[in-house]
Amino acid sequence: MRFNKNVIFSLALIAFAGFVIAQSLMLKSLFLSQSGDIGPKAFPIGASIALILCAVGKMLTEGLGPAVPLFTGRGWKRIAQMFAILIGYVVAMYWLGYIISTLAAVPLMVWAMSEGRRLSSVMLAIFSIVTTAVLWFVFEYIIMVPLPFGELIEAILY
Amino acid sequence: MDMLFTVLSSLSDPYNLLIIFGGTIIGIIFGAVPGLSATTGIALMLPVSFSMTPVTGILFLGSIYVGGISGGLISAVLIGVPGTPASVATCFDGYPMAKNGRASRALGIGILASFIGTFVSILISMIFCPILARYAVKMGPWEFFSLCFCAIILVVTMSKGNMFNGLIAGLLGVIISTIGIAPIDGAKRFTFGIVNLYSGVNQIGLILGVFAVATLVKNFAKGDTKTPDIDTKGISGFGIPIGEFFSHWFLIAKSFFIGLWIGFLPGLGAGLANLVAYAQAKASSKTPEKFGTGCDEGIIASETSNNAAIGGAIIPMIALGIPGDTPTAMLIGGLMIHGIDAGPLLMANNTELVYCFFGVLLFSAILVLALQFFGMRTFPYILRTPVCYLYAAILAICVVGAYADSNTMFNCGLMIVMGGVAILMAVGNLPTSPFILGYILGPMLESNLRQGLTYSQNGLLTFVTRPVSLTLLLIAFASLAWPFIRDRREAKRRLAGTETEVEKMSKVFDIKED
Repeated sequence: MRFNKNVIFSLALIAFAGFVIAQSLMLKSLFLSQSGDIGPKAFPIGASIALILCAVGKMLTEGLGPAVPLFTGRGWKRIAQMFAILIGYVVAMYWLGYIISTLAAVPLMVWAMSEGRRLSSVMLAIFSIVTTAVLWFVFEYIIMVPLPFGELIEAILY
Repeated sequence: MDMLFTVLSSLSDPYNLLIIFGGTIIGIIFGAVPGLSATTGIALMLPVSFSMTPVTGILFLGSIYVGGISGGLISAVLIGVPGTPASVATCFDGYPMAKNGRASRALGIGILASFIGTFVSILISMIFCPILARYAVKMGPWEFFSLCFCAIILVVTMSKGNMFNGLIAGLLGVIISTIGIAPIDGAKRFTFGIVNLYSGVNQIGLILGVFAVATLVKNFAKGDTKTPDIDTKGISGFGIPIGEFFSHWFLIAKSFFIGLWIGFLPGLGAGLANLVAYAQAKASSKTPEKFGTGCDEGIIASETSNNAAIGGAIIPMIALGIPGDTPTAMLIGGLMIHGIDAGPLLMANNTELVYCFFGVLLFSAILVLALQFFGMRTFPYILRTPVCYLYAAILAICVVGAYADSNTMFNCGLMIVMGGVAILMAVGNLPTSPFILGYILGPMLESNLRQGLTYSQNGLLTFVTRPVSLTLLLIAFASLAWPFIRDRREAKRRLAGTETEVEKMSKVFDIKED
């Protein structure tokens, strides 16, 4: 068996299943177990045991050959970039509210995905404003869900 | 008759009409843009649907479903890249035909075939759903446990690739579904004191993360964000005379039933139906050498079958609460968000909703036909939308949609985490279809298992002493053996150099799921 990404992945799954089993063993039923009922532990434990068996099966079958990487180094960089923007967007939305965060995040995402292709800054600004406004209108007035105002903005204003 | 009037009045309501119209257009766009699909469209629009009434919400999601499956043919014909896995085989003849300056003919054939596939399959599902549901209400928790178990196993074993990957994905879905309050006794499981997890892992956060965020980020990571070049010279007129199209009636009927049956089997769906129907059409043709060069039969077979799979997938979803494919799993999620339990009692308790759903599928099929015929010239503009702008807008909708479900930022974080989990799953070759099925069916599986054990004196033995339950379990275990038999047969064929058309085509596009 080679120590390829599938073996590492399978070992991670086994560790995860072990964690679920350990957590399940600590569970307590709120009521006295009815006759025949298996309680809240049995199902997740059963699924975790099956997960361990399948992870071993995966290791034995896919650990034998060379593993083909799904993404290149550049691909992983792009994934990290997008997740960083998304996390930043969500954090900014919490502190600064929907409007400011979306106005900043949308052009940032477009710019990140354009990868050096020439973008018109006027077009980018119009697109960001229109996207922010349309989403705000749809969620505030049609779906009737108030979008976050921002903790920091609230603290400053009130 | 009363029901007919109720459905017609729901469908003719101006607000609902607007919603259906919008949903169909959104579906066509999501189906047409390579990398997106009906699944992504439904996932993205789930948060939008919960501000609507249950009937309007399901009309909206149903119209996206039909538009999404039908829209895949646009990019398949115009740029030779399938918009969705449901249209892979459409590329083989649609694109060469378009390159020969007959894009209108290819689109016309595809649009007509899609319409027939959707419309007739929905009519058939309208007949079969009540019959199946009548039997299903007689089933107890033992049968339901075995049915859910069988559905998950079928999805795993029928899908392509290593069976262990499918099983792992399904089990991960099941384990995630156990987070929150346990059924029967109400014990808190794996919540770690986080109040937002008491009601379980939020469906919207999970679906948006797995099917929208992860899909877009994966496409971006692979560099699939370039705007394609499209030749618009061949787009003029309506394509093909009706009489000429129907001269292929036998092929239409054959492809239709292939699609309907494959759609009915849990987890297979339109992605496989189009390949099987295409292979069948080629194998039975008097001129197989014409396939792949732009022949009518190839497009007819692919588009009739992938749309017929819609009706096939609807039958187990409505009658049993078991999703036939990933988009129907999303639709079940949509029903659950509105507090409606999908299952055999759905038809009895929510008859109006079910028939409105059938009605909207039929209506959307007509709408897609009209929109695609009259909007043929606008297709290149859809495909020319710069992907970086489109993806940025979709990601913004995802974040806002996740927030809107529960008015907490927790859901946005959950969506990002689930997006990361889906990417890790892709790295480990785990498919997402069994994962979502495990997540949706997990609670049903557990509650029916526990109810079954509580109600019976013989414990687990009752699951194998009841005939229907035993049959379903036998099917599940027999299908576990299927991948080994299939692999041996494929290996033998490979050695003999006699691979089937479906096997060859699956290799070209690496088709796994929708």
